Amino acid sequence: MNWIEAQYCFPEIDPNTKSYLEDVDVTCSPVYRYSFDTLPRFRSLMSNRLEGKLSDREMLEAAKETFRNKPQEEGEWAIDEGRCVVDYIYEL
Amino acid sequence: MYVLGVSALYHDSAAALVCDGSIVAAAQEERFTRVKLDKSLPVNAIDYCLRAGGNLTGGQLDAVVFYDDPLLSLHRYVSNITAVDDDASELVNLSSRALFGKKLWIEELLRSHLGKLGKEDCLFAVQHHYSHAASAFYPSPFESAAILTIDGVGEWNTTAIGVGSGNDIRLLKKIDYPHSLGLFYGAFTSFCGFRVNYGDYKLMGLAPYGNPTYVDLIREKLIDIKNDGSFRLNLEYFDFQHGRAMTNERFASLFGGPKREPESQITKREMDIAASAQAVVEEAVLKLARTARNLARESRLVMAGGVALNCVANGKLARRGLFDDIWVQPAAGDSGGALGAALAYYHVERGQPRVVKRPDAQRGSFLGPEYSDDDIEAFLKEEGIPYQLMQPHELEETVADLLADQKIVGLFSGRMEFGPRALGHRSIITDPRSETMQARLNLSIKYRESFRPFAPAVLEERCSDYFEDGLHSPYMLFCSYVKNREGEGDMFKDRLSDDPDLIPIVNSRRSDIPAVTHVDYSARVQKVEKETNPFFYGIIKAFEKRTGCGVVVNTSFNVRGEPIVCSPEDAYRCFMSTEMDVLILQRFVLFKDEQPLEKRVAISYELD
Repeated sequence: MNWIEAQYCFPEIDPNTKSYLEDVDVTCSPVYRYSFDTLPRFRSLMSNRLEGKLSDREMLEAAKETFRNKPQEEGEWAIDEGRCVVDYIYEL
Repeated sequence: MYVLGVSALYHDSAAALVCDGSIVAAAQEERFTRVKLDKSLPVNAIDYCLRAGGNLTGGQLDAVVFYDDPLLSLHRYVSNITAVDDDASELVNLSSRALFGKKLWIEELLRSHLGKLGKEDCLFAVQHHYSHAASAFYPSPFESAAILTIDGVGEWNTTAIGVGSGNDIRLLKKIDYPHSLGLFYGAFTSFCGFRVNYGDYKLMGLAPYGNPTYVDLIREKLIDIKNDGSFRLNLEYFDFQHGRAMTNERFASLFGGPKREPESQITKREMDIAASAQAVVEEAVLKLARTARNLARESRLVMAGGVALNCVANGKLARRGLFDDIWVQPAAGDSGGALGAALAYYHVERGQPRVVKRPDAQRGSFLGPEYSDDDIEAFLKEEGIPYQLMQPHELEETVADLLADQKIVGLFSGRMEFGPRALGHRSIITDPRSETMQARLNLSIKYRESFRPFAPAVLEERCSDYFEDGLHSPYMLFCSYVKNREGEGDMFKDRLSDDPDLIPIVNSRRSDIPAVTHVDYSARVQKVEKETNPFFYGIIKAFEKRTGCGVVVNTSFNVRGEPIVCSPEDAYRCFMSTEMDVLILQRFVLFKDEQPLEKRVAISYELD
């Protein structure tokens, strides 16, 4: 495995690039309401885990399966009304 | 408008209270629980802040703000798990319970303690590096500034560059996990046998003993640094993404063998590795700062994030002259995120204007609890502890006499410091003119490694007499170099064996203030200002009148592995468990030889 392959699913790099700096997404405010409530299915899933109905391992396996089948760009976070990577986990 | 900021559940939990944009109180949870870098929900720090605000309740707050978004951290975490696939079992074991069981539920956790999360009963979140940026910019004395934040990781980000102006902060550029200067430095900390997060400053202190012989190797194999300071780690050599350790066997093979076992003999290899890692981090920081200046088009810089506590890098950056002035948040690590989150809410979410204060709005970083003389006297009487009560002027003269007599004095006065540095309110101080004092302090007071340096606290008007540059360093965040050098310089390095005895090197005289002169003549300077730190200033001034020396040794009031003392009880316990000679509890002077034998406490400390 070479250096680039070792990035796994993280953004690949161009060895000839002059900079690894990326632009910050400024379309959303960096200050916002934090709420689990906008993610009801995920919250429910987490409640099941906390109640012992799911183990950490089962929870993660389910999340991984969802992530694995999604292209990277769809996994980018967008901060508004629960439009985030956890959307993937909605499908569980 | 009262805003409570909270940082928690990662490391060094803290709370901060801001009223109409002014900092009322801030404290780290570790000081109350006595668990170093305590990451639990900071209920004690929160309660202290509420008391400091006038016994506020959760419902009386205008807002409660968390310094990080756990859902973003979840994204990174699951992405990491997915990326390393079936090799992630240890990461799962290490982190999943804390993330799924606590961090995501931060709103409920805080509500269960506060009852109500502000008038709207909801939790606000500020993104991690934005919290760092806010903690650096808003309290600074600058109308506008470039911003640089660097840490291990917060959500996805490890580095951010931005610009602050008026009440606004804009982050412009970032670097994301797994490419992290904080984790890079932590990998070397771990490899040299120190604990990550606890021992990074040990690596920094060890670096001057070594030669940077591994720099080319590190640059070739481990990290690619571009001219703008941006970087990528070669993950073939690191293991943090698997949760097992910071480095792997491939990393070890680069440096000729396995990592140093904690507490084993430090060899020349570790010294050279430390010097090399420090040099590489300095290179990246200097280049990133130059990029920040160019992107922000600002002549002043503010910094935060754990890497901003690297005072050696900060000093070199300041001396490089890239900026007219630099201000670093004294609580640059995650604890300061609580303060940044509260200030960001006030200025960004609520659009409130910012009033720039001088010398800054941090108030000397004396933002923690204080105890009245009545509180202290009641404690002393209840415990049957002998003491002498003195007036302030008499006290300064007495302490100066003790210092001049080479005594080691515990100093407890006023509000506790916010951030990792003791600045004269919870300090151990002594005479810097003795060449054996550094080893004595390390071995019989602090119970820590003999190589570790101590910091000078210098009268503001005498700073240029002792140190080469006039850096504004009231928070001990910039290393400088002593002026009146003696001795052989770094010639000792040529004679070092593979497993050297460092005591003779530590004890060799290098200047007229040898106890605070590191082996490369550097010193982590605290410039003591009369306006913000009058009691400590008065003591050093009285010492100067006796001795002509305007400097004292200042080290944090704790022993190894323990947080800095918070209460008079903590201070007395520490006093009675070490070889400290005298304890000053504000106006009360306690001499060790007058203390009852039964009050002696057997020293116990955790290795850090």
